[in-house]
Amino acid sequence: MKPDDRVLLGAYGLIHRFGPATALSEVSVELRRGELTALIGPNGSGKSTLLKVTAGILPIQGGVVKLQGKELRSMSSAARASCVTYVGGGIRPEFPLRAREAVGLGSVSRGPSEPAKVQWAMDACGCWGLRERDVASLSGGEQQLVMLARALVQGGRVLLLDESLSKMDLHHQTRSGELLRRLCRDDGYAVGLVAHDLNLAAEWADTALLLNGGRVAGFGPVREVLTSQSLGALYPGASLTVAPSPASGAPKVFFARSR
Amino acid sequence: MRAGAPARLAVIGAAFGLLAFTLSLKLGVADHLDPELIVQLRLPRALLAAAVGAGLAVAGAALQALFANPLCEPYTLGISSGSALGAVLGGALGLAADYGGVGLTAFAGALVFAAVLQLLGSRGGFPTSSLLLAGVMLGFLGSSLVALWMALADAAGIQGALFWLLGDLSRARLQGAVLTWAAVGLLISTLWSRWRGLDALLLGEEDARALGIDVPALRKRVLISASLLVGFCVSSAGMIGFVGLVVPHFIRRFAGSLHSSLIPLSALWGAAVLMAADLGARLAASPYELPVGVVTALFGAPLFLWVLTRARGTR
Amino acid sequence: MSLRAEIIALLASTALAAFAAPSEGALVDALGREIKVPAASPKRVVTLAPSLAELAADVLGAELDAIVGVSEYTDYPRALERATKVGPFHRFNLESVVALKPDLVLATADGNPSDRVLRLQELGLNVVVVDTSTLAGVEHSFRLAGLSLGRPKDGEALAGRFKAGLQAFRGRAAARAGLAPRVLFQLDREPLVSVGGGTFLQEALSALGAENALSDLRTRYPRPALEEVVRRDPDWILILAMDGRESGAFRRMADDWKPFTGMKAVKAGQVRVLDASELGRPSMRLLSGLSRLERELFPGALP
Repeated sequence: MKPDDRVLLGAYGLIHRFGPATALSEVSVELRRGELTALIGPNGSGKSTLLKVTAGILPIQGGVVKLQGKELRSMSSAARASCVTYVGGGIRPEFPLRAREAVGLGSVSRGPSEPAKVQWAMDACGCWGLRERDVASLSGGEQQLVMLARALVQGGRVLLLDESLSKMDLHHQTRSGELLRRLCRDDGYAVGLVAHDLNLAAEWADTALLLNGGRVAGFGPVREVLTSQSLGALYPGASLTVAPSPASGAPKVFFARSR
Repeated sequence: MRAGAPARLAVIGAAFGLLAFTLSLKLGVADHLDPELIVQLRLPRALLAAAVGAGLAVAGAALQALFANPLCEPYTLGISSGSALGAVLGGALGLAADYGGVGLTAFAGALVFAAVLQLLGSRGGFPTSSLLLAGVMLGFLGSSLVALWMALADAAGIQGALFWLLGDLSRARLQGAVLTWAAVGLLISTLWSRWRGLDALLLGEEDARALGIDVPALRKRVLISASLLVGFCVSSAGMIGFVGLVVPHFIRRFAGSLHSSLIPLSALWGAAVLMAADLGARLAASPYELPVGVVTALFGAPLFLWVLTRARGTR
Repeated sequence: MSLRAEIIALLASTALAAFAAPSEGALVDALGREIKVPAASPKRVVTLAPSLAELAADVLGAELDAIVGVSEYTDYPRALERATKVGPFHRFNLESVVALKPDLVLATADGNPSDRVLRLQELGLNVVVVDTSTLAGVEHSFRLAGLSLGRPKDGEALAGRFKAGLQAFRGRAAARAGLAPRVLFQLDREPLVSVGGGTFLQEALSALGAENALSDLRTRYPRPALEEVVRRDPDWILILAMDGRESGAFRRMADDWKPFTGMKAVKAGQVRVLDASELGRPSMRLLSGLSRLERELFPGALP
């Protein structure tokens, strides 16, 4: 098992500023094939920024991003899109757009539409029944399913999800989580997930990256990184305990009311 | 179900356009006109109406996609104000009111304003929303300058300018119409070839980037092509409103927003609509000619409102 | 050759040369084209302004049938009210004109849109353009009309009559030297539209020895600010009722000035509505319009 081979996305020493504010300060992370990495941190800690920089949506101001060894900077937009797929939290289309058309957009940088692939992706995400519906008429959760399907059509082996499951109901969340795990395990995807729900992230993730104030506060296997101390440092003032789940053994975060 | 919608719309649009074109040649103030005069007077006008209608509709569609704003239309970015200003200055300089004279200065005016906009937009990181506002400001600037001239100039000279501003296809000559056709055709195909990027923008700029589209490059190309389109159309026919705003929306309602079909359908229907409107403008109150823009709005606005209310159910 | 024969030959050749060479005073229209008497008098004439219809009617006399197309608001002579209309003079309809198959189109540089007039020319029509923005131009228009209608003598006679009529006014004006009232013409309110330099109206005023209060403004129909007019304080404010009717609108324009009691014209009761239906036409009736204006400004002057 050569570590280099398995790294599908490597970010090294990333620096990013928005004006005077520093969002990322020497952040490094590696997303490996077959692994789901959860990005955890308080608001404004740089999770979204990190995802967007590695996806090529924001420019690289400092540091290096490599996709399967190739520098992101040297890649064309289309080549980059075939390697890494970014999914945000939701969409607000201004114009009429059917769900299947939105999903079909995943292949837009490659060429013409691929109806077979669209069907497969929507099936996998459980939204094929919504295909003729206008996206704007869907609920938040349904929209997110559609966007997930779109990501599958886009096909990049690195999948970056930025609170992309936050509006789904429990059933769809778990289904999507299972889908992600399957993609990792069977299709060799590397998934980076910013999750709104710590526990869900902990349940699915193999690795965790802790971010605090634009700096890496921890990186490694999820059971090692998610501890009461590390999370307590991230969220001071919250009274929490981390203990293994009775069902799966994955770390779970327990909150207590402050006395 | 809806799969055949673009094709159906294309067929209906082509039939409509053909009908409008034929009637434009056959009908007129004069009951019977020599064929030679039909070629000299009515044919150029119909051709110009078709070219300008197609051009404005496509420019509107592209700009709406670029700015993700349903209210965008060819005049939002102020390029037409630049054209108006150019025409007005040309008139003040005593240039003849034809393609070689005022038409040229009008086009130059459009180019100047478009260049300013392009310069602003090319600064890295200039957000698209700011670009839209910048365009609107340019538009205000241009129209204020035009209004200033109108306030200071001869009352007689204003009549001509007013009609020009409201849209005037009467200056059409065969050569000029063919030239406009060539330019419009070229620019429409340029925009059509960008259908993928425009489609990606349907989900927003960020998502478009994520999908692998080079958004700054796309923005630049679309802006240039759309500006040139508007410049050509406004220079040859004055400011004809409504077509660029409404035709794309109408097409989207019935055939979806994907640009591989939206752009050619907008061109087709834009051409047909403007030809029909010009016919109406010529005949409705003859021998007076109504300004074309008034006709398009008078008929189009209620029609579109009706389409809006009907389509509620399918959403 | 003997000397006598030589002299006769010389004289004869000189005489011939005089006929052959284009005369120095060749009549040229506003587009710079030389107008010659046509081989056959035009039978289908279209006039693109009401004053042009009057002009053609004056030349043609009784044969008004030759006028087949007129612009809107052509109301004099009355017989022409029934002729086919080709649209308003500032935006006449190309097709209407062309469909009438005219062999002569009379246009004016002072009101017809130049691009459309040029278009008519391009389409091969015989277009004669007069320029009636000056009194000299009005006088010239009689000659041009006469020539192009195949009646040079009638045209010349009308020109002469016009000139003589103007002379009469000028003569009386000279006699009144010292009386040079300053007049403001008003065409509209909100905004106030007046008459500036470069118009036949201003020249007509000068012919009477009066002065246009806005003569220094080069725009032909300027819209001065109210304050500017008050500052200039004209002796007369004449509201020109172009259609002759003393409708309420014109009365209101006159009443607008009532509050300005400090102005000379208001104090002297010299804010009047004037029937300008004749004065406003650059045709023969301009003379009777001038007459009316003269009586207004100089009551007691002989007609």
